[in-house]
Amino acid sequence: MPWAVLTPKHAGWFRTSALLAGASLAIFVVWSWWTPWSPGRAGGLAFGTAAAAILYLDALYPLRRRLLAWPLRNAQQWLQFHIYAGLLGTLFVLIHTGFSLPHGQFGWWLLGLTVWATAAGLFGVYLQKHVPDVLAHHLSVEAIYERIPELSARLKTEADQLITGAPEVLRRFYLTHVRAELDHLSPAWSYVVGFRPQINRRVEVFREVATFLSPDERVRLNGLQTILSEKLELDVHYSLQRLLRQWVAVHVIPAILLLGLLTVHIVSVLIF
Amino acid sequence: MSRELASGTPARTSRYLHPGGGRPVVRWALIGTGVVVLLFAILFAAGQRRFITPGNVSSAHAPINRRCAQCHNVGHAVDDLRCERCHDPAGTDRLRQSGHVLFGSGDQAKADAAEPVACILCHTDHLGNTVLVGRVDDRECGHCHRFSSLGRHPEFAIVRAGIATGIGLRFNHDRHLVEVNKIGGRRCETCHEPTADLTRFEPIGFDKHCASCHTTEARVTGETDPLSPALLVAASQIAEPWAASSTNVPTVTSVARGRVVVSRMRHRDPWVLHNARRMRRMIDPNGERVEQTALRTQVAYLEGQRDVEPLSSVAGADLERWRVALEQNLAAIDRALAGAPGSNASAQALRDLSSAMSALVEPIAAVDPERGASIQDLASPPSLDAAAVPTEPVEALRRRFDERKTELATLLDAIAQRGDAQVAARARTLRGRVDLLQPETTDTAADAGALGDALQGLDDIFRAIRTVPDPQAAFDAAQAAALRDAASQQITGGLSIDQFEDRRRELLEILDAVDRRGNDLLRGRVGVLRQQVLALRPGGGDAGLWRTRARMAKTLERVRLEMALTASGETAAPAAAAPPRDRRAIQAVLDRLREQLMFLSTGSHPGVLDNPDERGAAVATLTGLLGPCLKCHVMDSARLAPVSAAKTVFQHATFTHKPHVGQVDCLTCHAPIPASKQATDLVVPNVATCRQCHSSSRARSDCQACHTYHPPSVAGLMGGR
Amino acid sequence: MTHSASTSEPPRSGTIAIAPLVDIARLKQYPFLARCSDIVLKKLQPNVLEQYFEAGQTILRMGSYTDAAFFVAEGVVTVRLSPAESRSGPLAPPTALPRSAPMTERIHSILWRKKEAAVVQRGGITPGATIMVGDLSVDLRSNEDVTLEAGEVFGGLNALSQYPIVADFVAKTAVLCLVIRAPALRMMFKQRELADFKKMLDEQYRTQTLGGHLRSVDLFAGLADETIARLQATAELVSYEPGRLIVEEGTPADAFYFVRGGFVKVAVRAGAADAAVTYLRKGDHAGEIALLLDEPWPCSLSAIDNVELVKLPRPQFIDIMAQHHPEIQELVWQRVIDQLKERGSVSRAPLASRYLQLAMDTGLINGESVLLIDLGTCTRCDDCVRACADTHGGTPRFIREGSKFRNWSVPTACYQCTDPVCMIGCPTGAISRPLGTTEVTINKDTCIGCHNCVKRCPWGNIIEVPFHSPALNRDIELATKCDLCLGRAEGPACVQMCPHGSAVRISFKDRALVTRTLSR
Repeated sequence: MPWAVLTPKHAGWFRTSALLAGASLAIFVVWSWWTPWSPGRAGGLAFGTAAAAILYLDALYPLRRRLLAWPLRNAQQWLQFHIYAGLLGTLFVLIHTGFSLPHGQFGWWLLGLTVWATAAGLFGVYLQKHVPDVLAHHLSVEAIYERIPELSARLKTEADQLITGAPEVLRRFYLTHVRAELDHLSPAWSYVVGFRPQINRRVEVFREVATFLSPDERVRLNGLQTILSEKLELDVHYSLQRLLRQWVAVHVIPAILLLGLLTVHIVSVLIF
Repeated sequence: MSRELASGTPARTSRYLHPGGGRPVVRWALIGTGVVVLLFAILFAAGQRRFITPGNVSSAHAPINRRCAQCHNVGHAVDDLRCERCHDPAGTDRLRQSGHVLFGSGDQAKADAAEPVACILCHTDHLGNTVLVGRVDDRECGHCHRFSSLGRHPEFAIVRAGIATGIGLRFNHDRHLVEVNKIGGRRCETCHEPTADLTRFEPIGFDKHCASCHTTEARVTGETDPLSPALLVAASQIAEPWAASSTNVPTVTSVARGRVVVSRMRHRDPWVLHNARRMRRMIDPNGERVEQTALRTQVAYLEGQRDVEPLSSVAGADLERWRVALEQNLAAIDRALAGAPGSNASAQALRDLSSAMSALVEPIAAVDPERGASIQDLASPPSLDAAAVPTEPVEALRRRFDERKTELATLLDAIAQRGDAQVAARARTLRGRVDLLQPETTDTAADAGALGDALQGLDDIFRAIRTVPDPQAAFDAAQAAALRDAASQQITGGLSIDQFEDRRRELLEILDAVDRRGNDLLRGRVGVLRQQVLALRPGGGDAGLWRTRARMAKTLERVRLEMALTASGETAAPAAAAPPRDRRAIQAVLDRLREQLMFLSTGSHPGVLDNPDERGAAVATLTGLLGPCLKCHVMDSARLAPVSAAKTVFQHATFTHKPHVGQVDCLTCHAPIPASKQATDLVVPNVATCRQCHSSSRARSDCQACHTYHPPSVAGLMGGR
Repeated sequence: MTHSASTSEPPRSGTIAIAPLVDIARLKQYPFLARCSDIVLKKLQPNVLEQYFEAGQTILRMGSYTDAAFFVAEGVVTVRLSPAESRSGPLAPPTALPRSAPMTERIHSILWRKKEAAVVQRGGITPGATIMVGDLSVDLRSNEDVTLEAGEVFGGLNALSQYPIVADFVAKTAVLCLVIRAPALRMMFKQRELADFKKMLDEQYRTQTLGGHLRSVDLFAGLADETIARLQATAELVSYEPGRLIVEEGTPADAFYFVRGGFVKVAVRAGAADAAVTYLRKGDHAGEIALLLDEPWPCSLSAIDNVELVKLPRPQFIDIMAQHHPEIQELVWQRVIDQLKERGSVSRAPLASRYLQLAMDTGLINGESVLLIDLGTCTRCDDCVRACADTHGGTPRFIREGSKFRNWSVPTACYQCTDPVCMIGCPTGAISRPLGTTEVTINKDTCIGCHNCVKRCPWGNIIEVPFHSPALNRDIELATKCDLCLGRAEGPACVQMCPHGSAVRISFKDRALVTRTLSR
C-alpha cells in the first residue's frame, strides 16, 4: 500500500491541528504533574467539554451544504475541518480520561466507539486518496457506479455481435473462455489490493488462440480482447466504488451511536 | 470490425441520473441511536443504574453500590451532607475543612474562616472495587501546604523547638542505661515494653518500671527536708477511708525547732496528695478551677460522642417533631440575635427544653405520678429565670479582667523562660501587648460590651500564642482558653460552664429514668430529646450564639435529608455512630477523667491566702512536702506537673513503631538517648533521619503515611486507631 | 425571426406565420443581387424572405442572437441602447431571498430544505469576457438614437459569428427588410457572383466597425484618430475556410493579422507533426513581433473554422510603429518575452500541447467555463451532482459522465461556449446569454420544450426533463442545462461542494491555465 498518498493537501489545516495537539498534550502533561488528573475536575472537564463540542460539530458534516459560513465556505474546508477536528476530538477524549482505561462497562462503550469511529475515519481518508488514484491512473475506462451493470450488459451484446460470422475456433474459444466472464458482473474484494495481474492472466489466453487465426480474424480477436479487458476493468471499478460506498456505513454508524451515548453520558453527569 | 479502446466512458447516457437519494446510512443510524437512547431513558426511569454507572464503587461502599441517592443528590452534585450521614453521624464536623484546620492549628476562628472543601474533591469513587477511596494524592495536600513530599517537609515542630517540654519529669537516660546494664536488663525494652501488636509501647508506670529500684518496701526512697507543720493536716483529721489505717499514711517525724520530716511516703501517697491539694487551693485556686473546667469540657464532649445515636435509627414521626423543634429553636435564636447583644441564649435554649419537658409531664404523670412531679419541678425551676442569670457588677468584671491579664502575663513569662530564643522573643513581644491592654470603661459607665471587646483583644493574643511552636505553651493556652470561655460567658451574662453542665446532667438523668420505664410511646421522643440535650453547647455572647445557630442549622439540614431519604425509600443503615470499640475507648478515658475530676472536686476548701508572707510560707511548705517527689517530678504553679510523655511528640501525625522496631535498632532514630541527661533533651529524630529510609524507592513517603487530613476518630484520639 | 408554428401568444419580433418565397424578379431588384443568375438566386430563395415591420416594432432585441442579416429596403430603423439598468445583468428570480434576509428566515431556509438557492444579484462584466462591439458604428450613447437608413445592413456579423445583439433595433417608421439567413449569407460569401454583397458588408464593416476593433488592439490603443482612419482605409479584409493555412512557419513576416471572427490555430513544427502552441480567437492578433524584429514567422497560422481576418501589410505597420515607437515599446517587448516563454514551454514539454490539440479537436476551446473533474482525487461520491440538484429544484443540470483525458473527465455539463450554437433557432428566446456575462441560461417559464437547442448542442449538454410548465399549463420536456449557478453568490455549486476539490471550472481562453490544469 503506497503511503505517499497520505501527504496532507491542505498544509494550513495540518499545521494548525498539529500545533493544537502539541499544545494540548503539553498542557495535559504539565497540569497532571501538578495535580492529580480526574475527568470530572477542572482540566479533565475542560477537555471533555471541548471534545464533546468538537464531536457534535463534526456530526454536522452531513449538513454542510446548508451550513456554509466563513471559514467553512465550501465542502473542502468542511472536510478538512471534519477530519482534523475529529482527530483533535479523539485526542481530547483521551486526555479527558487521563489516558487511563475505563472503569465501567459504559466507559468501555464510549471509548470503544470513539476508537472505532476514528480508526474507520482514518481508514476512509486513506481509501479516498488511494482508490481514486488507482481508478484514474491504472484503469482506462471510467464509469459511474449506477450504470456499470448496464454498461456491462452492453459489452456483452457487443461481443455477441462481434462474434457473428467468426470461424469455429474462435467461436468455441469465445464460448468457453469469454462468454462466462461477460455474463454478469463479478466484483471481488481482492481487487482492492491489486487487479492488474488478474486481468492480465485472464487476457493472456487470447495470445494462444491467436496462432490459429488468420490476420483478419485476429482483428476480431483483438476486439474481443478489448471488450473482455474493458469488462474486467468495469468489475474493478464496481468493486472499488462499492468499497467507498460501504465504508461510509462503517464510519457513520459508530459515530452516530457514539453521539447518542455521549448525550447519555453528559446528561447522567449533569444529573449526578 | 475493429474496436478502438475507449478513452473515457464507454457510452454516455442522455438522461440525468439522480444520485442515489441522499445517505440512508445517516438516517438509519440516527434512528437506531434514537432507539438506543430511548432505551437508556426507559431503563433509567425504571430505576436501573447498571448501564450508566461509570464504574463500580470501592468495595467499602459495596453495600450501596447501586443506591445512588445514598451519595448523590440527584440533580445536583455529591452532597457532603450525605457523606457525613454515615461517616460523621454525630454531626461533629470532624470531616470538614474546618475540622481539619481546627485539628491542626487549634484556632477556632481560623477554622471558622476556612473555605469549605467538598469531600469529592479528594475522594473520588466509581473507580472500581479495588481502589481505596481514602487514599488521596499528595498533590492535593500540596495545594495548601505548599509541599507535597517528604523531601520538602519542613522540620518537625518539636525539633524546631529544640527542647522537649510538658513531660513533667526529670529523667537521666544516660544514668539509667548504665544501671540497667548493670542489672543485666535488655537495654531499652526493660522500661519501654512494646504492646502486644507492637504498634506502641506500654505506658511507663512507676509501679511497673521504677518501683523496683526507687522504692524500698513500697516506699519512695528519701524523705523531706524539715517542714513547718502549720499547714499540714494530720491523717487523723482526714475523713477518708484510706486515712484510717496507719500503714497508708507516711511517717511524720518531729525534728528540731518544731519542724517535721515526712518519710516513707508511697508513690501517689494519698496523704501527701491531700495536703498538696489543700495547699494548692490556698495558693492558686484559679489553677484548680481551670483544670476542673477543662476536664469538665472534655468529659462533656466525650459523653456526647459516646452516647449519640445515628439519625437513621430515629422513627419518622419523631424526625418530623425534631425538625419542627429545630426550626422553632432556630427562629428563637434568630430573634435573640436580632435583639440585644449578650442575650442569654443558653438560658433560652434550656427554657425551650423545659417547655418540651412540660409537655412530657402529663403522659409521664399518668404513668408514674412521682416521677412526673419531679419533672414538673425541674421543668419550671425558678433557677432558670432571669434572677439565676448573674449579671456581675462592673467591679467584678474589672476584677476578672485584671485576673485574666495577670494570668496571661504569667503564662507569657513562663514561656519566655523556657529557653528557646525564638519562642522567648515572641513571648516577650506578646507580653508587651498584654501590658498595654486596658479596659476601656470608666467607673460610672459599665459597658459589658466594651469589656467583651477587650477580651476579644486577648483572644487575638491567644491565637498568637497558639502558633508558637511550644507544645507546653499550646497546652497552657488551651487551658487558658477554656477559662476565657467561662469568663466571657459570665461577662456577657450567660451561664457558666459549671452551671450549664449541671443542668444538662440533670436533664439527662431524667431522660434516662424515663427511658428505663420502658414505655414505647415515650422512647422515641426521649431519644429525640436526648439528642437535643447532648447537642447543646454553652452559649456565650454573640459569637457563641452564631456558632450554635450554625450547628443547629446543620442539624436541621441533616434531619431534613434523613426525612427526604426515608420518603424516597433510599435509606441504608450507616455504620453505628460509635462502634463498640469507640464506646469502650471513650469509656476508658471518661473513667480516667472522671477520676481526676473527682479528685479535684473533693477535699476541704480552705480560704485563699492573700497575705504574701502567708503565701510564701505555704509555698515553702508545699515544696518541702513534695521534696522526694521532686527528685523526679517537676513543680508547676503549686502542683506537680502532669506527666505526659508521649503527648508532645507528633501532634498532628500518627506513628506506629511496629514497622520500625523490626528493621532498625532503637538508637538508629533515637541516637541522643545514651548521652541524654535531662528529660528536656530532644531525643526524637528530625526529618532528615526519617528521610534516610522514607524516600521514594525504599519506604512509603507519601503524606498519608503519617498524616491524616481528618482528625482521627474518637477512638484514635483515645490512642486507638 | 424564423418560421414558427402557431403560438398562443404573439411572437416576439415580428414573425409572420408562414412567409411566402420571394420572387426571383423581386430579388433581382436588390442592388447586390442584380447581377446574379437565376440558378444562384433559386438556391438563395429558401433562405431569404421579406419582412414588414410596423412603426415601433422591435426587430432585434439587445442581448439576443440572430441567425440572419437584415437589409433595410425601406424605412428607418432606430438603434437604441437600452437604459442602463438592464445592462447590469439579470434580475434575481422573484422567489429568491435577498442577501440581507433576516436571520430567522435564513435559519429557516437552512433547517427546512429550500429548493431554490439564496440568490444574490450578480452581473456585470466578467473578467476576460469578449465583448465585441457589433457591426455598427461604435459611438452609441445611452440616450441618443442612431438611425439606419435604407440600404444598410445589420446583424450580418452577428449571424455569422454568433455575437449577441448589442442594442435594440426598433423600426422607427414602417420598415421592409430583406432577411438573409446564415446559409444564404455564407453562400453569398462564396459565390463570385454574389461577391457584391460581401463587398457591401465589408465596406460597412470597414467604415463602421473596423476602427473600433483596431482600437481594441492594445498596441493601437493610444493612436491618434487620423492614424486609425488611415489604417481603416488601407486594411485588407480576408477570409479563410476551415483547415486552410494562413501563414507558414519560416516564411518572411509580411503582415499584421487581426482576427475578426473564427478560430486560428498557432502551431510550431515538432518532429513530423505540428504541435499546437495556442489558438487565436476574435479580438486576438498576431505578427507584430515578427514584423518588428524583422524575423520570419516563428509559427504557422491555420484556420480552424470560418475565419475572417483584418490584414495590415508590413509597410503600414512599420510606418505606425516608427511614428509611435516609444509608447508601445514596452508593450511589445513584454509580448516578446511572453511569446518566447510560451514557445519554450512547448518545445520543452511537447506533450503539453497535446491537451491544447485535444481541446481544439473536440471543440473545448469554445468553452468559457468548462467543468473538469480530476479523477485522481474524485471519490465518485456524487456530491457535485447533489449540490447541483439542490440548487436547481431537485434536478441536476449535468451528468457526471463524459470524455476522459488521462485522469481528467469532462462531464456532460454546458461549456458556456463563446459561440453558443444552441441559441440559434430558439422560437421563444428562452435560451439567452445576458450581455456581458458568460452564462447561457434557459428560462423555464418561456421554454416550450421544442428541443431545438438539445439537438443543436454538439456535445449533448442540454438535457430534457419532465416538467409542468405553468405558462403553458401542460407537461412538457423542459430543456435544462448548466447555468453556472447564475445569481449564486458563492459561484457554481458543483465546485463549491466537492469535498476534495476535484471539480474545477476553467475557461479555455486562458491557454496557460488550461495547460497547467490538464497536466496536473
